[in-house]
Amino acid sequence: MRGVKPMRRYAASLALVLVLLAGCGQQSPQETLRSELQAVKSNTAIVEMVARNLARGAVPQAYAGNAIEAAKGNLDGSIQALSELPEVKGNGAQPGGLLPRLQAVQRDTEGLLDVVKKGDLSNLTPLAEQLAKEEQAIDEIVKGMGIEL
Amino acid sequence: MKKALSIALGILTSIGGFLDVGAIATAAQAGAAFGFQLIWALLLGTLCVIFLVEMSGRLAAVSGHTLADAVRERFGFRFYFLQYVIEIIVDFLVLGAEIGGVCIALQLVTGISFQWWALPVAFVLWLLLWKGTFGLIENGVALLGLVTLVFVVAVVMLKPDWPAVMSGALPSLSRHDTAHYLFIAVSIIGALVSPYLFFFYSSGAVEEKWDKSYIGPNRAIAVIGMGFGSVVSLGVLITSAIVLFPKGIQVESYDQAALALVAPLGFLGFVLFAVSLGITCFGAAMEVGLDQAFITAQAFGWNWSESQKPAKEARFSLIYTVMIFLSALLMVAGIDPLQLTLFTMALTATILPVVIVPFLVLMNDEKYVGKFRNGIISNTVVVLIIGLAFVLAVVAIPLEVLGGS
Repeated sequence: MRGVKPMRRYAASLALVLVLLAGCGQQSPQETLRSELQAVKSNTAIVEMVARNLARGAVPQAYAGNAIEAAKGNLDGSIQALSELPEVKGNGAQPGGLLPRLQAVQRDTEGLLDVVKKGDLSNLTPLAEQLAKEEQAIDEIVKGMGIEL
Repeated sequence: MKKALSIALGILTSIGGFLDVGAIATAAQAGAAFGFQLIWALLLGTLCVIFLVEMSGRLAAVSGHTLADAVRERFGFRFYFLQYVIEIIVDFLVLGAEIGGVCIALQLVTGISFQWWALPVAFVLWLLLWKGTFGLIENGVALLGLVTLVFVVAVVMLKPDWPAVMSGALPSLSRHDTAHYLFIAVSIIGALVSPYLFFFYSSGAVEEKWDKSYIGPNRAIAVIGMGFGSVVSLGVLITSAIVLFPKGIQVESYDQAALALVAPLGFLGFVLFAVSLGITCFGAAMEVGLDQAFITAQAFGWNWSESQKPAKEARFSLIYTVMIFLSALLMVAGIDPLQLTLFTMALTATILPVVIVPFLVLMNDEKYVGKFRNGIISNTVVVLIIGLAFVLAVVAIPLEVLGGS
């Protein structure tokens, strides 16, 4: 049975490394907050950019519809996760707080998706601008929370 | 004159064929998530691939052996079989990702989901391998791949802050998302230093009957072709860094990466992104499909040649036929092409020592390469870069999977 002992030792070392890495892999609530806010920022920017490019005829409508729908799915997931965090549930849920702003982003994105699906392209730019304003407001709130994205 | 033309063609095909799904995905993600900060990983990967491509051509030209053949002869069948199994699994995933890249390009243009394109793409791929010759595959598709130079044009139009770009050439750690940063760094190196490239390149050199007179042209193709090819990769990274990074866009799918070219070039940029992605992935898929057939045939001593009729090499043709359709099933199943690509590229970095260490032994063995043995510089550079990529991969992959930072 030569080689069995070294194999066991190797397996034990590997298991130890994986346990240690699993420990490193646990995200703290602060890290979750940061990564979900980052996802919101990224997906909002995508929706805005796609809408503006569709308005200037730089991307096809089918592409824009798919891209905004995918981003909306990601946004919904992130906003749901954020709404369960204490930092967002408490003061963040007050008027002018983070949660109402996130919900406004959700509404604007839904509005944009609707416009794209109906092919009513004249409404794209005003909606994209509204979304950009919400994005800026969220940025300021996040900065105020001391989070760097 | 004929050799000069062959060098020129080799260089052009290296530039056109340099990009593949892995290079596009990793460079776009790196630029979008970390700006210019990961340029160093791209430069290290390029340096390593230049040395290794040159070595695989030199091995074939001097010894008349393909890499697979030489490893089997030097280390025995049992060792080669282990290397073969690992390589065939990674090739299977890479092929799935390349087919996925073509499908996404078609999705961008038509709006029809990528899953529906997987089997038609696999069929066209198979048909071209079945009917085509090695020259058609290597030169034709790679020359079409010169369309990827659009990324370089985009960089020129975007007028980057060059000192900031240059600062990315120095390795540094990210202040945030360290695990993801390391994962992308490993994926970039894995995407550039793909082992299939060396098996494929040496098989091509043997198929084209290279001899010692090709040592010079081989060096020129490796250095100039791969060097300029990496400029295209750099173009993808810089474009993403200028357009997507400031907006905080983190590329989570290929259709998001297309936005990087739309900003400077408008609708033309959108079309050229889709065309670049489609052509480069199609070319790479043909190479990976063939590579699987090459290494299998060379493992078991079957006849192999892409330029022969399939009836004369039934087993060789059967391998790429089966592997292409099996890999296409990954896309039919709806696996996300970008996630598959990134995971596969990082996985590639973990298997590099298994492929590269025996390769280096061969390149230092007089029995195979005579006086054309490796020098201390090429040995040191390759060992250091492969070692670094392996260590980073072992740390970064579990952290990325577990969502650590």
